[in-house]
Amino acid sequence: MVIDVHGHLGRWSFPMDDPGPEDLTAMMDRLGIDRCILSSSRALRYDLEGGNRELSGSLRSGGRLFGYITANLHYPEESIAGIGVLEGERKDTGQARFVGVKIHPMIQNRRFDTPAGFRVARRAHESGLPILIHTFGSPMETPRQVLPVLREIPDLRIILAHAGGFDWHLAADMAAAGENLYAEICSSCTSPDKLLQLIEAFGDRRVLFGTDATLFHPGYALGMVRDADLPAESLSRLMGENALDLFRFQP
Amino acid sequence: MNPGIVDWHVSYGFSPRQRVDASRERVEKLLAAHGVGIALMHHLEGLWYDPLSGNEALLTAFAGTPHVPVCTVNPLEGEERCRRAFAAACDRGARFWRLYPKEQGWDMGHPVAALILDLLREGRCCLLMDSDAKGIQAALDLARDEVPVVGSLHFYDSADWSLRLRPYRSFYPTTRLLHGPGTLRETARIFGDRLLFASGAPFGAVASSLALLDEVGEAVRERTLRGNARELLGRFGHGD
Repeated sequence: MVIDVHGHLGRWSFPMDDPGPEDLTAMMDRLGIDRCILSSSRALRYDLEGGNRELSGSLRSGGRLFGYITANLHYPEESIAGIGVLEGERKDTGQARFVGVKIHPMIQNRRFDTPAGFRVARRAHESGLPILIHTFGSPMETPRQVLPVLREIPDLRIILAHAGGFDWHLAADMAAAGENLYAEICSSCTSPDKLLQLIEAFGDRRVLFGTDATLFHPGYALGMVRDADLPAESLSRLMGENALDLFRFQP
Repeated sequence: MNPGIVDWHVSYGFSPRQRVDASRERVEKLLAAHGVGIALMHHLEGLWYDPLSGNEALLTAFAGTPHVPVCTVNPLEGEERCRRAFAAACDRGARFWRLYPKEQGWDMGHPVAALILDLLREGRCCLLMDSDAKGIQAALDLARDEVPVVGSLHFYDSADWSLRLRPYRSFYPTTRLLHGPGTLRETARIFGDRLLFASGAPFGAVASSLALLDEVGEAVRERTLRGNARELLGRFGHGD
């Protein structure tokens, strides 16, 4: 089972293809990816409510695409209300459409360690939803911004998307901050050493496979995994088992 | 004929700013695992510490191997040191050079950079350089579009560079950062006979860059992995 925990649907402001849900599933078929958990680029970059609603429509059927409810920390009330509405939505298979909450401090220009961040974190925790937060090396994106929230809510499950990007040591340094802190691997940095060091720091049960599709070609992150040449057990945890447990998916 | 893939961006040495095993043994293992037969190889000592000693070590290490040593100079070290490092490497046959404006904190407006471009043009050399589109354009202009400039540009900026650098016949883009869906295909359409494969190994995975080539057909793939590179290498005496 291969689960991509970091995907998107929607438009990006670059001269590139705009894959829709069918294109994405075709790419997943080609590359052997079974499930993908997506956030809406419209919700991240522009219209929170409209983007989440649009994504919900794309998740209605089938058992392969799941969603993150995007929160925007400039709009904590609306974000919290969105979680309340969307967490109950089901696919035609009966499964939940949304399995986590997405936060992007860089795109939305607001850090997580703010009163709004704490409010959204408490609400996600109340619903048992993990939070996927974008992290890179800049002060706005630093992984360290999750620490105050983790101190208050130690059993909130938080995934450091990109694991700090090119500055993965920032994420690795925090591995001991809590058993509910996870690292996700994709970014423009595909050094196999990054993946190996994240597993060394977090252990192989707290590192997750992600691709950033449809912003990135999903084969890019797969290549990093391939070159890291992991032992079979660690590989299968990275690629799917950890996500099955974390998101409480049925196999 | 070496049937291997040609990779235009490979480093070895010691990595001081990220903990990466860039030892020669490790790097050659990564390349061999994917059938890379020729690597344009640069030494991290030249980038981070001393171009002169880095070039010497590089030229010695890869003499008699299929790999192509890529030497460097650092404009921040001034005119005299750059001239000395350039002459020393040229005496040993160096024709491929890499500059690091971003990593070393200078830009193509630096007067020593202009001098270096003159040296490269007069020495009929090839330049490898990762920079923004304006930096690569400045290098091409300084060299009067006579020095081939091989550059890895991020797909985020492709609206700019695909148009800005299109008129330059000496510009050779690489595949290394074309990981947006469709961006490699589009770059191949525009720069087809000049698109070169590059991985950035060991800071980038060879398998990641190879995966992007599933967007193009077999003929373009072959040209990108081998054909375009052989043509360019052949101009500098690295032919079959």
